[in-house]
Amino acid sequence: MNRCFFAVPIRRSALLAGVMLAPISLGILPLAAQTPEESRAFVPGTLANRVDGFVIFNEDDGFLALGYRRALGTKQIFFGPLVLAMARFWGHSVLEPLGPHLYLQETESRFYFAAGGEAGLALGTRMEFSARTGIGYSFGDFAGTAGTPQDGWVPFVGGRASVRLFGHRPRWFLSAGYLWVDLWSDHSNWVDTGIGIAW
Amino acid sequence: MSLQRVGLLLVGAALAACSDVNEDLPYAPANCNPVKPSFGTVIVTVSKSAAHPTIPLTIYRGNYEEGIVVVRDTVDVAQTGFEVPVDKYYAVIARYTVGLDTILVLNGGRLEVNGETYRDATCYGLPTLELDLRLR
Repeated sequence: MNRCFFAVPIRRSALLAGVMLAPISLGILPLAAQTPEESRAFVPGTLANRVDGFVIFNEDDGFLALGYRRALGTKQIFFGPLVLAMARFWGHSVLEPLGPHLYLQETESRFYFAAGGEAGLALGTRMEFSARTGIGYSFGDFAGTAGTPQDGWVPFVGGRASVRLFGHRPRWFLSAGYLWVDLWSDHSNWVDTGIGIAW
Repeated sequence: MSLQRVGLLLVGAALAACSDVNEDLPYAPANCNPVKPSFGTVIVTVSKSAAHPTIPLTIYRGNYEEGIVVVRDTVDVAQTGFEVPVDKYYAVIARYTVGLDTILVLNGGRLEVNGETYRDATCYGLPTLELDLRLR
């Protein structure tokens, strides 16, 4: 079959890179603007608990996601367990060959529940950089058929940058990151962005 | 009064409060349809183009493997509706020919009746199920 389903223009890649770099560029100005009173009043470093609501997407697919992280260790350099839930309730089209010159385009919903760990560095109260990894179970459903898509255990690995939007306890963060996870979609590279609250 | 009696009284009070919940609701609007509809519309969107001026469609009750065909038609517009009984699951297949290849686009969903509850009635709208059967 000679059909181009997933053309990736350069401009789209630039957009994804821009989304990932936005928190870093946003974080530089608030760091410089931090007053002496502010730096004395609040202990720098991360807070123990953090919940994030975010979207994970690439060129032709997307998920809604929820994550929880418990920070252990020191406040500045932190590490701890992480749980992650991803859901694509809406349909995503997948093409399955049925035979020579015969294809079935199906609409797939998919879910991913994972656990792992996250380690990172907090810069003052303004920014956090972290790496995360773990493993989870992915499963899904096809609309209109009793057949089900592939399911199983898959690892994930990635990193993210966060910048504090406002508040000190709780703190609200804007975050953006990268995630590699093979959910039997067309691509395994994902960008994520969302809002987090730490307390 | 024993602890068990206090517990029973609390549960009873909670149940009584729940049963009066309709009094908080507004009255039904004048255009309310209180009759639960028995038919609804499956709205199908297809990729109509110069390459695909007409698209054959098959609507199945249940998953398509069950083979219960309720509608077989060929459409020549991008979006069209089919009237079918409600509270059932439907699967739809659109057939496209691309060069030498045949692509069957499958989608499905449940056509449900949703009613809005008011103090004096439950009002029903026209049940619809929108299915996207466009080529990706």
